[in-house]
This record gives sequence, structure tokens and C-alpha cells, in this order.
Amino acid sequence: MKLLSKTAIYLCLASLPIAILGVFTLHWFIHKSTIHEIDEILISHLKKVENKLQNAPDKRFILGDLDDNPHLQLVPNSVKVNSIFSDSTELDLRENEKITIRVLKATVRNKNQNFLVIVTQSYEEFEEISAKLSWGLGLYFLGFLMLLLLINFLLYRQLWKPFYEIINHLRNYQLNKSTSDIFKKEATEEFNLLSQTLHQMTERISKQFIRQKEFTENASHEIQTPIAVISAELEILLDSENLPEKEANHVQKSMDSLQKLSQLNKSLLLLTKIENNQFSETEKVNLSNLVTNLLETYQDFAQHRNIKIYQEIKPDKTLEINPLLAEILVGNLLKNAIKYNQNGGNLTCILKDNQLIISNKGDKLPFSETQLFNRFVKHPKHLESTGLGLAIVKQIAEQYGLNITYQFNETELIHTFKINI
Amino acid sequence: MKILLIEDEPSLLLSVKHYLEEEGYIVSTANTFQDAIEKLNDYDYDCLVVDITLPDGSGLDIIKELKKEKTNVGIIIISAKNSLDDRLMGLDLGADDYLTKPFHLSELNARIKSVLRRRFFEGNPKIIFQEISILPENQEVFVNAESVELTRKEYELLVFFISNKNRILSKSAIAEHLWGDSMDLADSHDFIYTHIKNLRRKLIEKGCPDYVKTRYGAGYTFSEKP
Repeated sequence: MKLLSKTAIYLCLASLPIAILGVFTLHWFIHKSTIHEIDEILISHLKKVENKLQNAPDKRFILGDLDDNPHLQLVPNSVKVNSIFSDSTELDLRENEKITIRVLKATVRNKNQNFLVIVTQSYEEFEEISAKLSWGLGLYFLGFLMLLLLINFLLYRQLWKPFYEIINHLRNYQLNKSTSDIFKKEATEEFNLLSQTLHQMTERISKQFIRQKEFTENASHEIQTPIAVISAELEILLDSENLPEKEANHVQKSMDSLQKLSQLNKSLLLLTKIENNQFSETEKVNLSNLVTNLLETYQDFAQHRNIKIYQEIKPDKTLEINPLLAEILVGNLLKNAIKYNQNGGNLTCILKDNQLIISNKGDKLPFSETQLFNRFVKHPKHLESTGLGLAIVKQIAEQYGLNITYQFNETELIHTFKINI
Repeated sequence: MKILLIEDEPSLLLSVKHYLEEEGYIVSTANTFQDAIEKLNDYDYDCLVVDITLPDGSGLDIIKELKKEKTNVGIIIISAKNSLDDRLMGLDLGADDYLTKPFHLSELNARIKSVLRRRFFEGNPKIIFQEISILPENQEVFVNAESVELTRKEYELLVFFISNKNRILSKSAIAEHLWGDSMDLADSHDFIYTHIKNLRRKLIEKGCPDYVKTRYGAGYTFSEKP
């Protein structure tokens, strides 16, 4: 849900009780004020009646309204009422409904007579005005809120534009590119803060990345040098005259292991470099030529094991990719298809419009299919392998968003790798 | 033939020097950029083996300096970085070859020979070993003036053998020379053996003695000595 919708919902939820409460509070306040004013009117009425009674001998001289207001009544002297206010209703003949009235009762003495005076004043109209005013104000408040929300909604796109621009930049952010020109100064303070903070953050990450990159490369360099020293020393040792066969064998084995160590180091470095996006330059690579050339390179190995190669390559099929990575991607898959093939087996390589299919005959995997692309997963019969070949393939495929799948045909013992291109 | 070896790792420097001296080269060494520049100013060399990463500068800058004045010197870069950029830049600057660490000394030896051949026998480079003569330009091989038909790999193998005659060549050195990065496919020993066997047979058929000696546990030697 958008921030805008959320704000609108919360505002509505909060403002509804506020509006209702406001209506009642206002109504109550007006009611109280009205009663207060009405009571003052009634008191002054009573005072007038009292004055008149003081000057006039009896109630006949006090003429009330047509509706008998004020109402005077003789009561025994013993009765004494000190101004009592009360609410009551009476029938309004015009609208034929009961209306609220305010009543003031009090006894007034006139020499020897004792009167009970009842003054009334209708305040139904005031109540009606009060209700209308309260509800009107409540509704106005809600209407005003709606208008505000509408304005906010209309302004939203414009106001949040820098935010979406920043998000877009972040989405396309690449570690190895400077961000000074993409996270610019913004007019809105909050977005400016966001933009500047992101700029600082990405600069920091970028510096860290460069340091990391240098470290990985330097580490690899540092490791390769002693390997080169050992390798050279062993080669000289192997070449020395009169080295007995048994000792030569030990030297040879050390050299083989050293070579594997070096290969492992190179592969790990390659994986790190791909992960770090260090092969970001791409070009249109002619996949058809690449596949054909690689098949030719591996021809010797296939021939040696009587592996029949069946190829169906659509010419001039191109892919936007780093050329080195393309070669490693296809090379590793083809090498795999030869290495794990059966003697006298088949290798099929098909390049179609949108797919590269490489399959070979071979025994069922000794581990779960899900582990196939994991690092250091090795076939027990090929422990000398680095176990990184397919991990590198996967990494490259992911880098370019290429989908790679593996299938195994149990009846014909065919392993198939498919890459959608 | 005089070679200047520029490498900052002392042990490697000594091993390579030792190996190349056995091949009959006069080898001078330098382990810093400054040292190398001074030596290059004072003496003439036929071939330069230079490491890119030096404590006080880049090997690439040495090549730049060198290319300003002298031209007829072979240059081989050795680097721990298998970086395409470095390789291309080095070759662009005028280096003849690029070798990634770790390398087999026999491989370096073969590359130096090849560079020197190209530089100093322009027009008519010829590799001769006893009755075998090779014309690298056309990749032709003759035994006693009679042509021998070799596959590409057999040809490369023969040149590698002759470049490193009387040396023991390990199987991995041979595999790496012939198949480079895809050598990990050559894991079965009889794979290399098949190629060696075929070369041997073809040479013997033309009347050569069996020059390829198997050194059990170590590798192969190409030698006229029995």
C-alpha cells in the first residue's frame, strides 16, 4: 500500500471520531450557553413580574401573553419557592410536535398575597440552530479534510518524483561506478538528506569494494608467486641428473598437486571477480563461432576416448556478454561433457535461436541434483577436479540473467544442460 | 645470447637464472625497476624476461622505456595476474609473449627460443636437431631432407621437445604447452602418451633414432644421447 493511501486511511480513521466528538462538544457548549442566556431572560422576566406585582394590587393587572406566560397563581402564604429552573415540553401548535421549553418557578409576595409565578421560554429554535451549526461544522471539517487529501493526492506524483528517481538510481547502481553525478542535490530537504546520505554510503561501499578487489587480486598474486617458486625449484630438482625413479615420482606428484593448487587459486579468483562484477565490459560475441572453435579445441580429447560429437550450430548467433566469460561458460560445459562422458559415448551440442543445449552420456550423479552447481562438489571418480567448474558456469549465467537447467534421462543415461539465451 | 631477467622474487629469480644458464645463455638479473633501467642503459640484451609487478614500478613501464630507443630485443612478460588487460597492454607495447605464473621453466625456455628465432633469423628461421630440420614459418618438418607429415599437436610437441632437448619434460609441462587452459582435460596419462607415441613412430619411420626417452616417474626427455 502506498504511503499516500496509508496516510489517507489513518487521517480518515482519526478525523472521524474527532469530527463526531467535535459535533457533540460544540452542541453541548452551545446548549449550555443557550440555557444560561435563557435563564437570564427568565430571571429578568420574573423581576418585571415582581415589580409589577409590587405596584399592582393583584394579578388581574398583570397581563400575560396569549399563551399564559407568565402564569400567576395564588398560593397560600406558607408556600415559598426560591427560583427553580426546569426543563419541560409543550405542544407547538404550528408544527404539531412537542418542543422543549425552559421553566422558572418562584413565589412572589405582594403585601398580603402570595403568588407562584411560572415564566417559560421556548428554546427549541436555539437547539435546532445549535444542532445544525454543530453538524454543519463537523461536515465542513470532514469535507475540508477530503479536499486536503485530494490536493495531496494530486501533488503526490510531483512531490515524490525525486524519491522515485533516487530509487531508480539505486536499482541501477553498479559498485564500480562513481555516484557523484547520480545522487544530486535535491530541493526538498528530506530527499536531499536521503540523496546525500546515499551518496556518502555508496562512496564508502565503493572504496571498500576497491580495497576488497585489490586484496583479492593481491592475495592471488601473492599466492601465485610462491607457487611459481616451488614449481621452478621442483622442475630443477626433477631435471637433475641421476635422480632415482622413486624420488622423481615424489617430485612429480608434488608438481601435480601444486598445479592443482594453482588452478584452484585461479578459479577462486575468477569466481570472486565475477561476483564482484569485474567483467562488466560486454560486446556482441558470436556464439556460433565460439562453440565451433571450442569443440575443435576439445576434439583431441573426445577422439582419444572415442566420444562421438554431434553438433548442430545455427550460424552467426550472437549474445551480448563479456567475451572471456562467454568462453569460460561454454568451455566449462563442453569440458564437463567430455570429462564425465563414457568411453565411446556421445556428446551433443545444439545451438538454436534461443537455446544452447549440451548433453552427454554418463552414469547417474553420485550426489543430489540440487548440489550440482555448488562449489567444491566433486564426483568421487574425479577428485582431482577443482569442483568449481559448474559453480563458475552458474555464476556467469546469473551475472547475465541466463537461465541454466540440468536434466537427467534415467533410461538413456543422458545428462543435459540447457541455457536460455 | 644475453638475457636480462627482471623479477622481484629472489628465489624465482635464482631458479630461472640457473635454468637458463644451463641452456647456455648469459643471464643478468635485476630485482627492481631502477636496477633494470640502469642495466638496460649500460648493456645490450637479446631478450628481456620481465615481471610486471615490481616493488618500485611496473614492468610495463620498462617496456615503454625500452621501445623508445632499442627495438631489436625480444620481450617476454611474466606476471602473476592472468589479466586480459595486462596481457593486451603488454603485447600492444611491443612484448612478444606473455606468461602467467606459475609457469614451467621448460615453457619459458621454449618461448625464449621462439622469440629469439623470430627476432634473429628473420626470413630464414630454422630449427635443426641432428637429421631433423624444422621450418617454423610453414610448420614443415624434414628428416634427412624428406618431409614428415605431422599433425598440429605432434608438430608443436616436436618443437617443444627440441627447444628443451636433454631436459626432462614432465607430463603436465607437455600438457600445458599443447593444450593450455584446457589441459585439465588431459588428466589421463595415456592421452599424452598417445601423442608422443605417434610422433616417435613417425620419426623412426623416416629413419631417426628413437630420441624420445621415457623417464619413469618423471616424464620424457628428447636427447641424442643414448
